[in-house]
Order: sequence, then C-alpha cells, then structure tokens
Amino acid sequence: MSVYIKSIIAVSAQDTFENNTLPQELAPATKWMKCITPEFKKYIPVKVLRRMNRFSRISSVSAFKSLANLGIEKPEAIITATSLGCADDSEKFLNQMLDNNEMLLTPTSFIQSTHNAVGSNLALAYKCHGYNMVYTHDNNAFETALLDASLKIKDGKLNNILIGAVDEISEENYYLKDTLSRWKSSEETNLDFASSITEGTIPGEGATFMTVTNDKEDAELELIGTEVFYSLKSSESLSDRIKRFVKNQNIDLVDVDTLMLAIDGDIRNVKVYQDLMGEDFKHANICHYKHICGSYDSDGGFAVWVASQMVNKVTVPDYVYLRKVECKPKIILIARQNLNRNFGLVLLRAV
Amino acid sequence: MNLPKQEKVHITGMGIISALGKNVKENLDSILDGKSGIRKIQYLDTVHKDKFHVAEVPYTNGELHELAGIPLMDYFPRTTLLASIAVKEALQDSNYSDDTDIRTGLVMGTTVGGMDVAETNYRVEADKPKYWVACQNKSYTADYLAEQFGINDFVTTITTACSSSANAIMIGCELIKNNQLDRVIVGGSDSLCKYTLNGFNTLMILSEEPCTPFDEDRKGLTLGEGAGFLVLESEALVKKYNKKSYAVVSGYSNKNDAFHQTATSENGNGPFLCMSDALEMAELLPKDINYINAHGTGTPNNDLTESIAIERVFGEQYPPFSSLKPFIGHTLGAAGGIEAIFSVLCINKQIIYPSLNFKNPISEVEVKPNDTLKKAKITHVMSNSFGFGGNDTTVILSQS
Repeated sequence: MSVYIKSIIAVSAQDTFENNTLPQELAPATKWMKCITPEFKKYIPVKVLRRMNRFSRISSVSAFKSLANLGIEKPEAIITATSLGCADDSEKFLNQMLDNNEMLLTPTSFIQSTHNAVGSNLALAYKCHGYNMVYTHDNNAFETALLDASLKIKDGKLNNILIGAVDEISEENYYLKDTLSRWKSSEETNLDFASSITEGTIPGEGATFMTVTNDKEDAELELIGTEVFYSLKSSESLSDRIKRFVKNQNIDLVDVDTLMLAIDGDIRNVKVYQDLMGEDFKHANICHYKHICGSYDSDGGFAVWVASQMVNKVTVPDYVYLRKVECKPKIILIARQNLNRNFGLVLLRAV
Repeated sequence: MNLPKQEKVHITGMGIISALGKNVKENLDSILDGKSGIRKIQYLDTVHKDKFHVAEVPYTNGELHELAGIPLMDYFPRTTLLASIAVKEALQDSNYSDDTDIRTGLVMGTTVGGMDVAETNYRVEADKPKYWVACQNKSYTADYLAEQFGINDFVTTITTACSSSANAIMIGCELIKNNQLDRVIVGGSDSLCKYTLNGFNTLMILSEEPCTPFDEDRKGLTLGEGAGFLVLESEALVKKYNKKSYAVVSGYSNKNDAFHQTATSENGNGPFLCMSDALEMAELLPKDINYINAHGTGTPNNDLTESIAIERVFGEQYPPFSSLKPFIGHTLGAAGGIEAIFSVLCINKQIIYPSLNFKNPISEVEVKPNDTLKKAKITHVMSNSFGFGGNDTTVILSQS
C-alpha cells in the first residue's frame, strides 16, 4: 500500500499560509524568525478563538485548512509533533507559581502548557474519538509522527490521518538559550546559514499540518519511507546509513535527484552533511530550508512543505538550492539531525 | 520494504522504582504486605508540605545518584535518575546483550521531564549562563538513557499526560510488529515537582488524605512519582536466544474521549472505545479478562466515568478490578509503565490486588472494586491509563 501526503499547510515566517508559495526573495533576520500570523478570525469563531493561545491558533488554522481543502469532516486520527509544546504558557504558570509562592494560582496556563493540548483541542473540535498521539522528542518528533502515520496507513487500518508539527519561540526560552550562546551574533543572518563558519543558529517557529492518506487523488507527494535513529554506530557513517535506508525502500541512490538538508548555520551541523554533498549526491540538487523558516525542532514539517513546492510548482526561487543540477525534482530525500544526534530521514516522490 | 510481520511481542525484563521501593521485588512485597507508599510530603520543597499526602520515592536526589551510579552534577532531573534506575533493572532482568545486530529502540513517556530543575533554578543568578536549560526538554531523559545504555536506533518521547507510558508500550509493540525493531525498551518516568503539584491543585482534584478510588466519598487523587520500564522483544528474538518471557502484549488501543480538556465524559466514550478496541485486537471476549488494573485515580470524575465504561464493556459479569493508586499514588507519565509491570506480576503470581481505602460503592453504578488481595487464575489482564485531553489507552497483557 502506498502512502500519500495531501494538503500541506504551513504557518511560517514567510507568507506561506495565505499564499502557499515561496517569496521571490528572502528578507534577512538577525534575532529570530517569528510567524506571519494569519487572520485567525477568518478561520476560527471568535468565541473559540478567545480561549486559544497563539500556539493553539497557528496549529488550529493549519489543521482546519488542511482538512477543509480535502473536504474531510473528521480525520480518523491525529498525530502532533512538538518539542517545546506551548512554552509560553509553561513559563506563565512557572512565573505565576514563583511570584505568588505557590498560592492563588489559576489553572488556565497549566492546562494549556500540557504538550498534548493541541492534539486534544483538535480532537474536541472534530469530535474525533480516533487515535491521538503526541511525539515530543526534540529534533525528530515530526519524523516519528510521519513514521507512525505511514505504518497505520500501510496496515490498512486507517484511511486518513491528520499530522502536524508545531513549535513556537517564547521570549524567555530565547533569553535562557541566549545565555548559552545558542544564537548567532547580530552580524550574521539567516541568509548566511550555508556559508557560516561559526556556531549557533537563528531560531524560528511555525505550524505545518498535512493529511497522510492511502488515496492518490490530489496528493502533493508520495511518502516512500521514513527512518528515525538516535545516533550512528561506530561502524557506520551517515553516508552508509543513508545508502542502506534508500536501498531498503527499493530506490537506487542515483534516482534520488534532490537532497534537502537541515542547515541551521551552525558549522558543527554543516560538517555532518559535508560527505553527502560531495561523492554520494554529486548527481543531485542540494537544497536547504531552515533559512526560510528559522531553526526549530519540528521544522521537518516545513521541509516537507518546501519539498512539495519543489515538485509541484513550475519553479522555486534559487535560494532553495545550494547546488542546482538541471532536473525537475522527482525523488527528494530530506535529512535532518542535530549535533550528530536524533536523525530523521524522509524519502518523498512526486505524484 | 515489507519485512514479515512479527505476531507476538514478549516482555523479557521489568524494572520499577516507586514509593514502594527501588526494584520490582520491593514493590511487589510492599503490595503483598498491604503497605502503602503514601505519606506526608518529605522530600519536595513546597509550601503545601503539610497539606497533601503524596507517594514519594523515599530517597534524596543524592541517594538516587548513588543508586543509579550517575556522578553528582550541578543540574540533573530527578525524572532522569528514576528512569535510569528502572531501565538498568529491566535490562539486567532481560539478560540484555549489546549485540549491535539487534535493532534496539527506546520509547518513553513523561509529562514533567526536568521541570524540577527548571523551577529551582529559574530565578537563580540572573546573569549567569543557564546550563540547566537542556534539562527542561521532554526528550532530555530519553537522550540521556540512549547515551548511558548505548542505544543507537529508534529513540523517542511521548507526552500525552497520564497515558504517556501506556502509549509508549503501544508504540514499542507496533515497531516490533512492523519489523522496524527487534527489541525496544518502553515505559515512563515522572518525578514530583512543584509545577505538577500546584497545577493539579489549581484544578482542585487533589485529595488531602490518601486517595480512595471507586469509593462513594472519594475526594480526589494523590500524586506519586516513579519510573517503570519493560523490555519488549520479538518472538523471533525470544526463540533465537531461548529467553524467558514474563507475558505477551496481546492487545492495545488509544482512543480520545473528545469531551473536555480536563474532564471525562458522562458516558465514558473514550474508555469504552479503547477497552473494546483492545479486546478486539487481542481477539478476546470480555469474559476472557480475569482482572482489570483500573486507572482509578480517586477523582469523582474519573472513577465514575471509568465505572460506567466498565459496565458498558463487561455488563453484569464484570471481572474483578482495582486501582493501585492507593499504594503508589498517581505517577502520571510513569503510571502506564509501572502498572503494566504490576499487571504482568498478577499473571506470574496468579494474584489480584486490592483497591485500598475502599469502603462504599459509588451509588450511580453497579460495579465495585475488588478490596482484598486474593489468589485467582489469571490469564489475561487489562490495564487502563486515561489522561488529560481525553487521551485514553488500554493495554492487554496475556500469559506467554
């Protein structure tokens, strides 16, 4: 049974939600890349909107639009991926508790801060009693969600599954990580990600929801396979591991015409991919995407959105390419990791 | 690639640390002796110290470091210490070999992760580097365990409130059945912290006295802490290495109540659906279940909903059921893992646990919990875990 991805909707630092297209040019950002937020009340009743935090809002509009585009009234299952959950509400409750010495607290932020708040809000909105899972493992929560969904579709147990990847920038979390020099100094921007020789990145945020299904009609991509692994064994290089993965999907490496990498501007991460760009994929387009959305743990969802743009639009702006060979992308491999840990591989094919 | 499906998933190792003790034996002995782990707050530094009872693991962080064999560090989450101790026991128990050809994974559930570290350091030394930040991630513990025990393959973390580790068991089974892994360590860990205690307190569902699940006058839940991990292995691996198997995981299901963010429905739809679906997967009839390890938190809402759902699934001939929360407290993200182990022990020891502190049945329903420790023939046990956001999971464990 083949697995397809449909109706990929992204709220991101670019105008991807309303326009579903990449901007012709990227603006430089030095501090962070916050979302362009949609006009929420166009999609969510004001009464409901009032009870939602921003994290829930960007998730809900993406989810609603993904399903509405397909005319699906109720998904059969919902899987969300988020590393930080609603960081803003966690901090609110923590601050409230510390300020008031554990007295006279209100439950709102506590409830909203649970990592499964978005998944269960969506279940409530659709009265969906089906499978509801939340992966929170830092860099590969999204790939795990994709793997879980594809196993269920291949099993023939379910016909459609809503899956989403969402993380937000909270000011306090930004500041805390700033004390550890996680962010680039102000001289560098997201446009320098591929050429940077320093450590650190520029954070981003976003919500990308999509529908995974067994039905080919109107599909944006076919999901050939997904793999998640924690680290490389000493006997195996990333290149070996990728070759094994691609072979296991019954695909020849030379047929993978596009390699999309999670380049976040941190020289340590760029180095991990260096071997791949040379020998193994010398025939292929080399692309990247984090400079478009900023770096966040679940941005693998946004990478899938970019992959869809590449196969379904006539052209995409050149800034997507690190190296361009003359071919229209048909089979795309997305490779993500962070400091040699928590790898996620996603192999996609044009439909 | 379509590798052949694995039909059976075996449990070959188990590890627990809870208020009842630091290994499986101490935990079981305490229950057999009828001794609860619920006490006044001793270790958690909170203004509510004298107000609530909790089920704390009876060791300081320093003592846990020693038990875990992890050197003292400036910042280290209690959740990770508990997890490390339970995983180590489970691995030893399963005669774990680090043969690199065996595809090994780790799937763990947690709700608070390293929040204890965050809340104690949040306001300390404002201008200094915040080295503790990484501890805040939900994945900190799983990453640490992967490094400590040399797990390269699949590693993930699940956070679905109180059903987190029941879901971890389910995902681990799916990965083995779909031939993605040969062996997977599953379970969960959660330490007590001020964040959780105060969060539950704002919802007004904490009982000041030890919890009394399924009792007419139940006042709320008692928080606990701990970790419970199981080693799951494929049938092929168990046969190849001639391993002992404590039990098999024969059925599971996750459904959503889709009723309210924190409350459970009046008709028990979520619990009804996951219990029924898990039975279907296990190809069992309701009458085949010999004991239900109920979620039974002791809140007015949960216990009524769960009772209604049990009546809907099982009718008048319902099996004996009880809640372990009066012994170990509600261990949140660890509950599904710890209680799955106790469920396996029911099968191995052919016993049924009592629901402590139970006096009078809930007036709205006909069912009432088993209140004495007794011998019984046990082949199939159902274990329920229900979480906030209506996240409901049932796991069925059966004799190998």
